[in-house]
Amino acid sequence: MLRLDNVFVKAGDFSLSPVSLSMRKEERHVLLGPSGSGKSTLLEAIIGFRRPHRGSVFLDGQELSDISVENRGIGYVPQRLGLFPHLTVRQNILYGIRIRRVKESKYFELAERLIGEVGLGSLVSRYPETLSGGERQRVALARALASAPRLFLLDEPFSALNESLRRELWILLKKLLDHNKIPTLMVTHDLEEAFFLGERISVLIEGKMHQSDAKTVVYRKPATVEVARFLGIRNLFPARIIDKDDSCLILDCPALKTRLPVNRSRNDHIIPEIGDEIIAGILPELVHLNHINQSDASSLVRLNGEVIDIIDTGRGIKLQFRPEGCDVVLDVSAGLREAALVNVGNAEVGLAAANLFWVPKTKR
Amino acid sequence: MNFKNFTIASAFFIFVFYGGLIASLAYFMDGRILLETLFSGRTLFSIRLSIVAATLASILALVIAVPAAFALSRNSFPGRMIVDTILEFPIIVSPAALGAILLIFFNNPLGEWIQKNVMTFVFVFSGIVLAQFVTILGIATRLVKSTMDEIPASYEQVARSLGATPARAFITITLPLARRGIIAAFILSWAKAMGEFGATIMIAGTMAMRTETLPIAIYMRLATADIGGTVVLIVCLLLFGLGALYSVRLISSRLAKYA
Repeated sequence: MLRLDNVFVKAGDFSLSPVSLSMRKEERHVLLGPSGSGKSTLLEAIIGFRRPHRGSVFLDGQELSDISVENRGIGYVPQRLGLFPHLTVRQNILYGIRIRRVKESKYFELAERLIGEVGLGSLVSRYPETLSGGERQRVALARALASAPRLFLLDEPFSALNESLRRELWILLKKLLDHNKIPTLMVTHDLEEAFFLGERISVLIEGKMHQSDAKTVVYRKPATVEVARFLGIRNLFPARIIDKDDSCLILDCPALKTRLPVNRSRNDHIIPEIGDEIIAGILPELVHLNHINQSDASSLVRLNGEVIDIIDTGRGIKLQFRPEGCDVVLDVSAGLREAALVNVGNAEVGLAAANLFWVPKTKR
Repeated sequence: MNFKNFTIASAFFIFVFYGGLIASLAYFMDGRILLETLFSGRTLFSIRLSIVAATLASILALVIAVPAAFALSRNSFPGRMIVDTILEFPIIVSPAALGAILLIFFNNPLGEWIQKNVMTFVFVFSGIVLAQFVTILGIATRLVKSTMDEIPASYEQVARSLGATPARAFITITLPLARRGIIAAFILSWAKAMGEFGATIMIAGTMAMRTETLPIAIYMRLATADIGGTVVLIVCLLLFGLGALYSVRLISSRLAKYA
């Protein structure tokens, strides 16, 4: 399917470190990263708007560097959608078919089916300026898919929409992609969007690819400190490996005044050695609030301390937990149901080895 | 007077200043001279010559300005800054100097060769068109470029991703979206060409019924102290100019912004 081999792109003063990436057939892949990390630049290199200085882009085994944009067969939805204002909804959607002078009826049937699928049946004679934000998104999606592209690229198409409309369109996009079986690479800086729509996620930060994995792996086992921080994980503590076996590392973590067992499932390509200085990470959602669930036996490490603050986020609560005798604060997340059971004051939390992760201390 | 009133007063000063100058023409306006001058063969020739030459010069300028403006708006290429700066050349050089440059050019070996083997420009109709073309080319390019700058390049990018070649994307997307801006640029260039005097007189001279455009006719009438006739020709030129500007305002008010 799509493969990037050490693609190096320069855009003015910004340059993207050589990026390698591979996407499987029919995969929904999300390129995640903060603003200015080079996500759109990489997308432009794939579609052909920008020529890589080095490296190659392959699509279905075909090297794309000598193939012009119009012959790559890549559907594209830019951030501002680029709906042609002088064309009606139908003319926008049929533009690709007409411009390529395609005669086969299957393409027109596909376009008509897509118009129905995205719910634009009654709007086909309208001009883009008369449509709502959500309707415009639907036109842009249908237009890009109507040409039956080999690959579908989306550059933060939902960033300007409100929360409920975005969620509605996520569901629609997922349905469209599942139905039309088109491999998709989508750029976003929104974690929820990435995890909702992506099957695999690649994290690009400051022009460097930090991780490319299944989405559950990316969140539960971030590969670098930068990825962990970008994912909003603040529970990162310096530690030292003091023991190890085939499945587990034992870390000494002075900040928490405890020893932590961490599963070795991640970062296997980096061989951790006893004595290595690393960073131990704890996901706030996977910290066990033991005084709520006393019977939880999976917690291997228990920390006594104090809940110093409770923040209601509307969708749950975030606790600030200070382990006894420590200067650091541990973020703990809990659901709304648990909110009523938590009070400021003494508490105990539990950390399970499977829910901890480690990352190298220095940048790779 | 507070600041707001001061600014409004400044705006009104401009109106009163120009309006007053135009209104002062009425002092020398005479019904008989008006009809006599307006329907004289010489005046009709001047009007026809000016319209034909300005239209030709504007079309030629747009033929070059549209692709040039697209290149300047969309691409980064060596020398782009120089080309972009030189668009202002006809504005910074006085029209008379521009005409003198043309005249001098046709006296060098290359110019002489062109005059001999391609087309004659000095003291003939083609010289008028050339003088007007040189004067308006930069302005026309600048005006079309402003329109192109307002059209996001992402439209063309999307069109290309949908299978359009760069030329097809330009013809099917950019050109229709820039249509009103191009028409406005044409009208403004045409109005500027209609009023062109300095460069035209240098290369085409002042030959009655041959190279006598409307501005040259004004000059020639004034030279013979025919104030009444001069006023009539000035009013004609004013009506053409103001009509063109009004058309542009009309088009601009309908001009959609594609931000």
